[in-house]
Amino acid sequence: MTLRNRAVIVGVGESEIGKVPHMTGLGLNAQAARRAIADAGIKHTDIDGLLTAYSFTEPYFMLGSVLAEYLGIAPCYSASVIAGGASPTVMLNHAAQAVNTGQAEVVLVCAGENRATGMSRDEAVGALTAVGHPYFEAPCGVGIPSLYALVANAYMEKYGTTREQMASVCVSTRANALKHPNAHMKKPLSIDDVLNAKPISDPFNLFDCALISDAGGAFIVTTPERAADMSGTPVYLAGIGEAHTHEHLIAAPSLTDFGAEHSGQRAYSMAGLGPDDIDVAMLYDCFSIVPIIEMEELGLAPRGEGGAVFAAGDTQIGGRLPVNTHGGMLSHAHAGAVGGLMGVIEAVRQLRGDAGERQTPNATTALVHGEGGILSSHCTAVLTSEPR
Amino acid sequence: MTVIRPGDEYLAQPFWTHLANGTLHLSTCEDCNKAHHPPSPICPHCRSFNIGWKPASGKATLNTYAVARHAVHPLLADQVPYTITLVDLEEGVRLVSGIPNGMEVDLEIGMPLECKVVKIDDQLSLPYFLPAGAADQDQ
Ligand SMILES: [Zn+2]
Repeated sequence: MTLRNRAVIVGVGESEIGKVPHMTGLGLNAQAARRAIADAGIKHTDIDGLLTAYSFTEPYFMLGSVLAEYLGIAPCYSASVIAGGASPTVMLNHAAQAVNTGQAEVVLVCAGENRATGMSRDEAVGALTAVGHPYFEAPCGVGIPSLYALVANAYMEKYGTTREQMASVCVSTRANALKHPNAHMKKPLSIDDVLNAKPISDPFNLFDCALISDAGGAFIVTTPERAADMSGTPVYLAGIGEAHTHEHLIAAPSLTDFGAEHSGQRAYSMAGLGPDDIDVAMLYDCFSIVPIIEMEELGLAPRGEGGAVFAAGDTQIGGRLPVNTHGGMLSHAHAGAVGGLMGVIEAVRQLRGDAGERQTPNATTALVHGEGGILSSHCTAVLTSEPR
Repeated sequence: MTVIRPGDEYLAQPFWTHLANGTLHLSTCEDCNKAHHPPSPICPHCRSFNIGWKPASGKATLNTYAVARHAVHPLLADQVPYTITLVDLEEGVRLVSGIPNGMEVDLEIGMPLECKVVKIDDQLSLPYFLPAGAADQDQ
């Protein structure tokens, strides 16, 4: 059985973003959920499935059950998915399966945390060191930025990606974010700003690293048949695929070839589409090297040429291949699993024609890629405005 | 030198005990003789549970490296900047390592490296990988 054309996203919502000290992490989830429910044109009681991710800031173990308490719902399908930044696209895959196997009819997918105000910056970064191997990577002083820096240096050496090209990723997404009313970052950013910012781990400076935000996001998945009764405009899941190759960088099959190529091929194959069909792409951008690698692995640019696509400005709104039109995690929002979820939301808005001044003209096909760990877990989704 | 101490884990203990005694050993399958890292209860090559420890040759190649300039942990505040390396060992496993603070070493991806076990204190020694010659330098 294929999921092609058999699941739709019928509602999306994002919370207040930035520093939101008056909300808890799950409060941000609840706010985003209420907005997604309203966007879908349904009642909260229509929701019978709930997928949540993880949180470093909430004291609760079973996040989904707490969120169900908050929303006053009692789903017959509920789970928490932990695939790092790939969690939102992985949750989309699970939700699409659930609504096609009768486990649920309407699934609410949520993520979000108050990482900006719910924990100190050191706590936030310290928590992220947990992704490094506690016994074999931590003693060398390796944090997440350095793990990705190891990848960046290996990739630059093998494929010739340049420091300036990576900076252009930050500039491109910032230019896009300035057209998003809810983006965390509000000021323009230049190549010089990126190159002269506080150094973090060579080659990354501060602006090469994703934000630490308070943010929540949500979307609602159902079947096309069920969506016919809802007022939200449905966006179709054409194809979706995953690849999980390792957890720790010391166990990665390669430092220059990753699972995005395989998750992408699986998604394209299900959709019966290819990279040339993609009108707009939401790539995971926890660090500036990552969208370049993904663009190449997903076939949106030849190997070694992704950086030049960003540097040419082709990825900005109005460009040949707009990428992260909302501003991505580098400029729109990043708070745990919600970073990648915002990419799903933006893809839906682009395909509905709802993106305002960010709109890609005549966008009918969007790609969303999620990535977790250190390029460990990958999930690619291809979404379309009409059934394929 | 301050380091973030490795967690105390049963599977990893022999790795640190051997290093404290001055040698780098790798978790190695007794059935197929292939090494793996990090240590695992099961051989990822042949699924055997018959796992032992064998000395490594210490010969490695520099896969990639990075220079950390911002301390990700308060303990590292007086260490930055420091160099982190990813090294591919002759035995087919990969280790995260680094260059001891205060040592000047020119690194180039793909260069051969040799293991030097450096004593941090009575309980902890760490394996560093240095270019031939640099490994003999006194710190
Ligand atoms: Zn074996």
